[in-house]
Amino acid sequence: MRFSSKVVTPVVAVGASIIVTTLILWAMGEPPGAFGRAFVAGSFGSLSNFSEMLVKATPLLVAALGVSVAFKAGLFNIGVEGQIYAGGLATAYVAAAWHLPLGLHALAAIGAGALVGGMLTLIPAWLKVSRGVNEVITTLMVYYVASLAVHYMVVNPLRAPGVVPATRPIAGTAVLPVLVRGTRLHLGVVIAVVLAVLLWFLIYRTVFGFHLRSVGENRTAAAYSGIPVSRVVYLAMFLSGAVAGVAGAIQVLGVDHRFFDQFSPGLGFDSIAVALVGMAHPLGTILAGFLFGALRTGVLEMTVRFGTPKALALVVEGLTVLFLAFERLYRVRLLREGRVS
Amino acid sequence: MISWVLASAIQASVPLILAAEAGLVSERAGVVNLALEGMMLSGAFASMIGASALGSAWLGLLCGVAVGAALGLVHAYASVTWAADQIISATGINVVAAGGTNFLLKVIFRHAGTSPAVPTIPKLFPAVVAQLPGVGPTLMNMTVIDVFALALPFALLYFYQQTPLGLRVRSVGERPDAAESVGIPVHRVRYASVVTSGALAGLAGAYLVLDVLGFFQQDMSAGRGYLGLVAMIFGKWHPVGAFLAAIFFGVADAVQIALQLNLTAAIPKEAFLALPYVLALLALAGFVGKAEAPEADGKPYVSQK
Repeated sequence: MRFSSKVVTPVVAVGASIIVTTLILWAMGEPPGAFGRAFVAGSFGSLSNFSEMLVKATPLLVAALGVSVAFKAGLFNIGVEGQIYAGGLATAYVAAAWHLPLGLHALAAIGAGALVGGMLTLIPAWLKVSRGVNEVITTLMVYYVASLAVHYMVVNPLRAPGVVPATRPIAGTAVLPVLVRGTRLHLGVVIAVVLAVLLWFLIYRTVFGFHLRSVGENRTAAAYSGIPVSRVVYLAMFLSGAVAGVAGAIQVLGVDHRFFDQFSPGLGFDSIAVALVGMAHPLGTILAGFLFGALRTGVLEMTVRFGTPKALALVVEGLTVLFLAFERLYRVRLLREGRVS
Repeated sequence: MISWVLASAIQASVPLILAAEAGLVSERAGVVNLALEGMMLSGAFASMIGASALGSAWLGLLCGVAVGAALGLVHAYASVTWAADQIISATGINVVAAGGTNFLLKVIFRHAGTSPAVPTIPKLFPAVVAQLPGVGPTLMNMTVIDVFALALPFALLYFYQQTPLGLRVRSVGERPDAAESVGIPVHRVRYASVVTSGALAGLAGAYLVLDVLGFFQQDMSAGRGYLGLVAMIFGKWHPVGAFLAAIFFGVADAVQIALQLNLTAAIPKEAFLALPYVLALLALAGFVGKAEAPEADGKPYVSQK
């Protein structure tokens, strides 16, 4: 059988990291197979587990779409974590303070999240275009500043009375409705999938998408063929940050109904792993998003059953990314056996 | 006050100097090492485990350096042998380091956040030097790692500018094809450079545990690995330039802490905490001309032989 390396690489990487993690847990004295069983039971064991998995996967998937857009242009937006929270906070503000009709209100709030998320990428994009500075470093610097600013806003001017630092509850007109009664599954999951399809169309079926991919594949060649590289870099980065902002917006409007500071620490960094496993393809990212949503609920199940620290999820993700880096190794091995085209 | 700021500036600068020089050592040979952050964090964790299990700060230091070097080997294996995307490989290492140290901290010590106190590196001078005017507090805190970090940039300058081996290493970072054609083993040079870079990053992490805090704290590297890379860029990939940039950030950090302690209510704490990162962005925005990275920086090299 012949497979494309685009499928083989992520499957090998995910498989290898699950095997390594199982071995580590086994060496620590937990029953072999516990990880696999918790993974399946935690995500598919019941309707409520399944819907919780989707709820967890939704912001992860959306943020990963943001990362993918930048990837396609050859850019590494590693500051999504900050864009998610800043976007989420802007959304919570608009959703609580403005008065708009049902539907329009949610739309405006999501728009605010997208705008703020996108704006956070402007400085890194500018430094990339005009100074040639690696965007990994600059998006991270902006992330540190943004997360401190968001923390300040939530703890001070925008804080609502209560024990946990959070903003005021949002207006009912901005809430994303629950899809299945008795669960927390909300419209956000549909928005996420629609967004993935839209981005797929944008990247693979439009002139802008063609430019984006050309810049990602070979910036010099793109410039010689007359593609406005700087403009593509700005737009790709802005779009990437905007989509990450939408991830925060969906969490606020669909689940929390207010903004909790650091509502899901590490979400942005997880989404980078998701985007990489999805090979930066919007549809691959959907699959990877649900896989890592399942991973998160699986690890939560492990925490409940065996007291395993939640950081296990990060270990699995990190190993997966690391194994992805060995793409050529799999390709060369499999090429030799004639299994990959 | 001033002498106290000077002392804390040195302690804030040393990890950044080590990280900046670590980044430089790797990039001079053509491999971008964004995994410095994870190497530093792992080095810090390993030094804590080593110092507490073996009861000696020196053995802890060795463990920290060794783990940093081992991660360097992983990064080199991916990015040199398998021509991996160096950013993906580094991201993997950083995420594993963040998750792994956090995971082990909870598994081993059962309580969240910090480790118990461990033995620290002995100070170079007897406590009486603290009485000296001006430099007293600085000298009092000095350890052999501080001296090493302050001397390293000049040693590297000599190595890269004045020795034949240093010139060969640089040629690998600029024109690996040309280097190979005159018989320089490109892959071996890159391996050695990335492993050295990892060892230095591990040392920077160990410094945080064994010299500054005396215990391990979750995510204690706190972006210093990346700030080190900013210093390297700001210093234009020059050992002494990177050193001066790292000192600049260290001084800014010390001033920030001093201001925070003295001007409590007026300005929010977060504004001070954000200062090093804002300065980093301003430094990157303000410096003249384009970044002058080595020509082949970040590009995997596939042997022509």
